[in-house]
Amino acid sequence: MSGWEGLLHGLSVAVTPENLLFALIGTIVGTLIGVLPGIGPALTIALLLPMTYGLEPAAAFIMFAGIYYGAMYGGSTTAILLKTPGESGSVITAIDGNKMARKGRGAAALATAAIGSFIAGTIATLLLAFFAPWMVEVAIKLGAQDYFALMVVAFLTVSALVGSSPVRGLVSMALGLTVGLVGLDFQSGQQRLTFGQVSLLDGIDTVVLIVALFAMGEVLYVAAHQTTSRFDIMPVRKGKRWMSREDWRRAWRPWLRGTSIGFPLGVIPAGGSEIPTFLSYTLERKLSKRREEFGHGAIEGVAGPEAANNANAAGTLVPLLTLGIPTSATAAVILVAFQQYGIQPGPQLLDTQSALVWGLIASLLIANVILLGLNLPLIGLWVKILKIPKPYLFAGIMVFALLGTYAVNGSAFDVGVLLFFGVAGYLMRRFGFPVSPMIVGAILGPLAEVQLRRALDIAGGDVTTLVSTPFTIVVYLTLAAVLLGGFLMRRSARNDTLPAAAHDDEVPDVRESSHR
Amino acid sequence: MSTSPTTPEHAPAPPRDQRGVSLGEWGVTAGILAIGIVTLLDGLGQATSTSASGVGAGFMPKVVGVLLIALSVALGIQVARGKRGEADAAEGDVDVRSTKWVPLAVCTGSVLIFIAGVDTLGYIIVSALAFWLTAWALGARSHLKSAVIAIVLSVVVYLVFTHALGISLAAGVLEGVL
Repeated sequence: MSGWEGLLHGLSVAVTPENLLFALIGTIVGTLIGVLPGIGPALTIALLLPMTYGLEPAAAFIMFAGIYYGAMYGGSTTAILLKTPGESGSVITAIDGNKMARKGRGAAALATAAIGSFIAGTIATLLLAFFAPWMVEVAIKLGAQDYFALMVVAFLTVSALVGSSPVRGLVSMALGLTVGLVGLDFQSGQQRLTFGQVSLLDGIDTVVLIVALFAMGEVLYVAAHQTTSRFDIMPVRKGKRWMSREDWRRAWRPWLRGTSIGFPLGVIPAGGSEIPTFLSYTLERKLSKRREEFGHGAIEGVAGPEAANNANAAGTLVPLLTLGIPTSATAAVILVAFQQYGIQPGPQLLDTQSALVWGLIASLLIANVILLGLNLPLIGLWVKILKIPKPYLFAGIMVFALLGTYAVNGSAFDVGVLLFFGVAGYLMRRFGFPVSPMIVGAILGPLAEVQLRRALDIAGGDVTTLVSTPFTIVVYLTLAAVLLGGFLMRRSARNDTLPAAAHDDEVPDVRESSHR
Repeated sequence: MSTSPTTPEHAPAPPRDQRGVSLGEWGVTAGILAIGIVTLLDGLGQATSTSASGVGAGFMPKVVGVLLIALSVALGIQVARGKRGEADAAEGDVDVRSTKWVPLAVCTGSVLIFIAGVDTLGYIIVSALAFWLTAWALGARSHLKSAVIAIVLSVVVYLVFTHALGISLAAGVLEGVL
C-alpha cells in the first residue's frame, strides 16, 4: 500500500463520528494533562493508558494520536508561560518563549508555537505516511543481526547524545537494560534477577516503571528541593492580537526550516529531540538579522525549535511503526500501548494491522487540525489550569501515580515497585542522570536480546555474524560518525546558545535538562 | 524567580554542601557498582545454555553487569576529578544545594502507608491520606481544604473505577458503606 492509499484508508477509518469523538477527547485530555507543569508527553500517555483499556484497538490508537499531539502542545504552553519545559524538546522554546511572555507577548509566543506545531506536525505526518511503506520495503529484507545493529544505534544515540553527560546517559541506559532482564528468560524460562519473588517472574511492568521514574521521581524531587510552593505564571493579556503581520513574516521560514531539521533526525533510529531543537535554534540565530534579540524573546527562537520538536516527534514514529524500535521515551510508551493489545510493531505491522496503523497516522493529521482549532481560542482555559496551586498539583500527580499502578493488578507489591523506582527517579534527577535512556533501555533491551540470540543461534555461536552483512557494517560505521558528529554539534550548539543566555540568570541553563 | 545554578562555576556553594553533594555522588556511584555486581553474579549463576549458539539466559546479565561495573568506574573517575552531575532544572524553582528531608520523608511515607494499608483500610482512606500528606509536604497550609479535596478526589476515583470502568479497588473497612 502506498502512502496515498494508506492515508485515504486511514481517513476512512478515522473519519467516523465515533472515532472523531475519540480523537477530540484524546486531544482535549492530552492537552489538559500535558499542560500541567512537569508532565511531558510520555507520562501523559502512560497515565492515560488505563483510560483506553476498555476500547477497541483502533479507537484506542485514534485516541492516542490525539493524546500524543495534545500533550506535545500542552508542554510548549507550560514552557512559555511557566518556563517549566517538563521535557527536553521544549527546553529551547522556554528560553525565548518565556522572555516573550515576560514582555507581554505571551499570546504571540503561544500562537507561534501552536501554528508552528500545526505546520510541522502536518508536514511531518504526511512525510511519515510516505516514508513508512518505503521503510517497510527495506525492513523486511533485514535479518536479526541487522535489527540488532539498528538497536545498538538506538541505545547508544539515545544515551550518549541526551542530557549533559554521555557517561551518565549510558549508566541510565544500562540500568534500563538491567530492569529489562528481570523475570523469566524468553528462551529457557530461567529466572533472572527475581530474588525469589514470585511477583517479579513476569518482569517489571513498563507502565509502572514509566510512572515511577517520571511522576513519583518528580514529586519527590520537587518535595525535596523546591524553593517556593507557588508557580510564577506569566499572564496572557486579553484582547491583544496574537500575531502581527511582522510576526508571521518572521516566523514562517523558521517553521519550515525547523520541520526539515526535525523530521529526518527523528526518522533515523537515533534518539532525542534535544539535538534538532538545538540545531534549529542555532540555525535561526545564525540566519537572523536580529541576532541580539535571541535569548531576549526572538520569535524565531520559538518558531524554529517548536517546529523541529513536533516534526521530530512525528519522525520517531517511522522507526517505531516500521522497525519496532522506539527512540524516545514517548515512542517507548506508545510501543507499550501496542504491546498491551498484543501487537508487536515491526515490518509486518502495516500489513497485518493496516487499519490500525493508517488510522493512527490519519488521526495524527486530524488531531493536528483539532488542536489548531481548539487551542488558539482556548488558550485562556489552559492558562487557568496552570493556576492549580502547586501542592495540590503534585499531590494529584502522586494520587494518580498510585492509582495507575495499583489499578493494573490490584497489587500492593506493584506499588512497592513504584516506590523503589520512584526513589531511583528522584536520585537520577538529583544527580543529573537523564531518565529516558533508562526507559528506552528497559523496553528495547529485551527486544534486542531476542535479535542478538536469534542471530547467534542461526550462526551457531559465531560472533562475526553480527558484522557479516553490508548493512551492519554501514550502520556501525555511520554510528561511529554520528556519535562523533553529535558530540561536536552539541558542543558548538552549546557554545552558541549559552553566551546569549549566560549573562542572564533568568534563562534556564540549557545544559541542565533531563529528557522525558 | 531564578533557576538555581548548580554547577560550581556558577555559584560556589559553601564547602559543607559541596562535601554533601560529593558524598551523594560517591553513594550513587557505589550503588551503580553494586547493581552491576549483582547483575553479573546473577548471569554467572545461570545454568549453561543448550541453545544452538551456547548463548543462553546468563549472557545478557553478564554483559550488562560488566557494562555497569565499567560505567561505575568511569563515573567514579569523573567524580574524583570533581565533575558532578547537573541536576534537573526542567522543573524550575528548585535548589539542589539543600535537601528538605522532612517533605521527602513525608512523601515517601505516604506511599508506604498506601502499600501497608490499601488492602485493610481500603483505597479511599490511603489514597486520601497520600493526597493530604503530599499536599502538606509540598507546602499546602490550608489543612481542611486539602482534606476536603483529598476525600472528594478519592471517593470520585473509587466510584468511577469500580462502577463506571469495572476495575475493582480495595474497599477495606468501608466495605458495605459504599
